[in-house]
Amino acid sequence: MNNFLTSLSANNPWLWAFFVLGVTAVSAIFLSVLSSLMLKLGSGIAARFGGGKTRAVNDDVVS
Amino acid sequence: MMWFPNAEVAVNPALLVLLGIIVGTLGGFFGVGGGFLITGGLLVFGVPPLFAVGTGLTLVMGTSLINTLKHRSLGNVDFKLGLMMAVGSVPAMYGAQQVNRQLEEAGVAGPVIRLLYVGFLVALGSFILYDHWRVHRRESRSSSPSDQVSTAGLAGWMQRINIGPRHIWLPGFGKVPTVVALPVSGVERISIFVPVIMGAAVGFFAGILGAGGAFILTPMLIYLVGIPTVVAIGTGLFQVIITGSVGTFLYAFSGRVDPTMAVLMLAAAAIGAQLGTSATGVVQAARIRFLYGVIVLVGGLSVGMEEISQALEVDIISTFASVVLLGAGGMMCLGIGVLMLRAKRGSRSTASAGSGAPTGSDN
Repeated sequence: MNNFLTSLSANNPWLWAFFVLGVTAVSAIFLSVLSSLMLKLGSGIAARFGGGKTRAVNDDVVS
Repeated sequence: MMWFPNAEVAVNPALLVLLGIIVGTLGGFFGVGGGFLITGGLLVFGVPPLFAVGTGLTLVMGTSLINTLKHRSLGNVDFKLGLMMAVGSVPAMYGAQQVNRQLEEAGVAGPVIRLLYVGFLVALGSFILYDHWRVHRRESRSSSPSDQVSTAGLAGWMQRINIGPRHIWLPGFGKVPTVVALPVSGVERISIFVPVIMGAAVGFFAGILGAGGAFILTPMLIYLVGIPTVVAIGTGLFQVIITGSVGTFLYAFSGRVDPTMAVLMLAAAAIGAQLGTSATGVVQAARIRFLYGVIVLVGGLSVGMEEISQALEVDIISTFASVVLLGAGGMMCLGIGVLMLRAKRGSRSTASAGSGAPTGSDN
């Protein structure tokens, strides 16, 4: 892998520049989707387990 | 320590992850690429200067893409405005490169760029803090609080101004009007030449300074055109994707980018970006502008120390400057986290009290 990166960088600058741009863009899009999904999952878990507590507290206040 | 084959340097990956989180958070919150922060950080970690700039620009481009996607889902990106500015910024960046080359040939590129950077950052940071103080004083005098900037009159004039002909002919489109509406930004009418000229100015400065340019563009959109703060942040980030891509390509072409290092930091930046962009929805716009003024001033101070270090040839001052900048960035991230928690707690208690009025940014 390391050899591939260094040899591509040294031998074909055009291909290397497009490779860097492409890898960065694809990684950014993938990471954006992944982190959004993780955040939604986290919010879902928090709502499921934290929501019950909030309702119980409110019920106490009302009663 | 991890070995990076292209930059030919071994760096602690935990430090790179930390830097990525800071850059992602600040980028999403302030709508900046964070080039000045990344380059300074990488230099402290021992990355060779040219690789620090090239890899930094690659990270700026990737982080801006992540933050733009997130801001797009929140409805904060005005693509129409961003594309109009790109018409001016891309050729201006090329022009700036030619000027830079001439400065390099004259042997004055380094000092000129750093002095320009210091002057610009200090002036911008001071203005933002002055504006915050003026608005705060006006609000304390009147009973009705408003979140308008002090340059609202100038912004209104910029929107009404007519430049050039009323119609132009474009190949493929025919005769098109030069006055357009920007619904996402809440602008009823504006001449297309205003964003094109602004884009050119930003592209030129960004090209000279070797940065993405959002740190100039976002305040320009807020204070000169009257764009709401969160939309200016989202649109500024969209602009950085374009300028950052051009910069990444040019640096990669000359073999000055380490993609392994960039992708590692990008993964961390994606986590920080979620915090930063989410915070813009709950923290007041005036507070975002105030914090932005502070970090810009610290940035100016850091570049100033770098210039002194070069003039006196004392390396320790340069390292100290980068540590100050990174420390301020880290503190700012913690502050953003605290502000977000406080705002969420406030809105939760308001909702439980029955009013349900959300805390958020409105300009």
